Amino acid sequence: MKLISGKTRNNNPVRLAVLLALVGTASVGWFFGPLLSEALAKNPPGQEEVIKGLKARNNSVRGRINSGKTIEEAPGFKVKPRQPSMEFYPCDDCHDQDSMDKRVRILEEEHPKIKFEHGGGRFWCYDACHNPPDMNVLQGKWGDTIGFNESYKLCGDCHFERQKDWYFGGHGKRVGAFSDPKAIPLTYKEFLVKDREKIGTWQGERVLLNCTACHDPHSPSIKPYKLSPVPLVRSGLEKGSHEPHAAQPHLQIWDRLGKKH
Amino acid sequence: MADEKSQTSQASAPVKSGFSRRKLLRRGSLAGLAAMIFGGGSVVAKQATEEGGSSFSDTVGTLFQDHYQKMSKEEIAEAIARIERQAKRDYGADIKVGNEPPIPGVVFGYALNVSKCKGVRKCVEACMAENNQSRDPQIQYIRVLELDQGGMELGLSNHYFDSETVPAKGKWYLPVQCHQCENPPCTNACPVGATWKEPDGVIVVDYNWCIGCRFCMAACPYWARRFNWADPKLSAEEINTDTHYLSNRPRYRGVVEKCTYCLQRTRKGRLPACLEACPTGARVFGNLLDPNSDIRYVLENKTVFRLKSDLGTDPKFWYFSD
Repeated sequence: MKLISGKTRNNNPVRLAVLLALVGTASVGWFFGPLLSEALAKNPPGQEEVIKGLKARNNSVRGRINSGKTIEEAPGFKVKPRQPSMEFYPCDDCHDQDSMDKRVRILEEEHPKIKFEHGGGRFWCYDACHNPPDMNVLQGKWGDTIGFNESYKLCGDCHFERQKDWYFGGHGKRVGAFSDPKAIPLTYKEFLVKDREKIGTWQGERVLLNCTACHDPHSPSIKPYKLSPVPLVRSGLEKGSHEPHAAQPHLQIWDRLGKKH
Repeated sequence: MADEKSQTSQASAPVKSGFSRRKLLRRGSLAGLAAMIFGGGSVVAKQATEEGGSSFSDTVGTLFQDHYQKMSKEEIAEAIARIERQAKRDYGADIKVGNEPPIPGVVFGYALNVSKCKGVRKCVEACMAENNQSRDPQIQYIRVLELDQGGMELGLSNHYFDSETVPAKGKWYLPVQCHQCENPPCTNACPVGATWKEPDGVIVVDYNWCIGCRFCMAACPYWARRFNWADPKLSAEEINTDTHYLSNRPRYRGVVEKCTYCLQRTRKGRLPACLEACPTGARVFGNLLDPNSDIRYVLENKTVFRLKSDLGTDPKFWYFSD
């Protein structure tokens, strides 16, 4: 009990120092994070810094936990491209550099379907992911540009643990080898009936679904699903079949025996 | 009188010589039975194959069919032809029964992320569509158990849950199907050897050899086996024509069936139907012997557990959470 009591813990100077350091780091990040991102937006990093940052990202200690492998060591894969399913791509059809409105606002007219729920609603388009003036690509944390078809790289800037699982097959969905990625069926009826030969494989070439195939990037939490039909209950085992009937009460064995006697 | 006597003597003559109608019938039936036993099985079945087959000859051929593991390639081919003809007669469907052998160097394993599973039951639906289970009475291989959050008492679970949407508040979901145990109690319980473990680790059933005693069902701690109480009912539109002898070919009344990790798919390199239907990506399947497989990554890097692991059945089905 002494070991886990608050008094004992606070008396340990090493633990206290570590705790203070952690709190300090977090608060500094909280205070200066937005300023840093603003500064980066004003003064984008040079090519060397970008490369250094990318290397740091890919070889970070955090990326090496678990099996000790980095994402570069993951088995090869292809990703179902996202661009064909994007409603308004290419974006620069509308997002003209001259008429770009960067003000933070509610998008009522332009993209009314978008809900800013990612990160508790604290991100604005250009804060994190989109890359003005070139709106046809995304921007990574280190200022590198990322195509929409490879948006999983962008997600991994923050969600690196999930990204690593995804690279190795522990997260996401493997859909297998398809000659035409557009033909990937998404409902079980389609692949069971129409596209029997276009079904995924557990060996050979891996084709993965992009993060955005399941998660709306602006509101990434998974929404509730509708249920498939309930299994049928075998006759005689229906709910309530063993409950006593109101008009004719169910007699226990001793009741029936008692009546006979 | 002389005429009467002569008539009587003529009528009674066969009786004296032992050729009464009753005896003739008895001998005839015995001879017929003997011919059927000694020659009918193979000869009639062979003739049936050449001529396109008939219900009677197929029945005789099936009656004398040997255990799957004891049959020669030719005998298996004949058996498959009989099954295909029978399916055409019973269901009006042109099914194709495959006999793909296990892939060398492959042992199948399955992992399921319980923190991703939302209890949608798409896996159950896809499994039924793929594996030709009877629709009435309904047979399903996967039970999705709904449990209270923080609870792991399987006895308190409910697999008939029916909420408007899932996941329901305060619940979590645990799909259970055949765990393809490495030390399977079901195969040990079978008195006739109709169920066994294949080299790729999958437990299969020879539906022609099963006597329907259901000892295997009693032995299975995961409630993974199902019994055909009645003739399976399936419409021609519902039937999956891509089948395997040891997996999803049509079953009979009075035999036990079970999940085989969709052998008809996985032995061709494809993924099981339940995995493909899962909308949340909770399921991971692969070769346990391949160090680069998805399943090996999960086993090496995630906190996994197996259901009722204390029983020593050594299942090849793991659950994990993020």
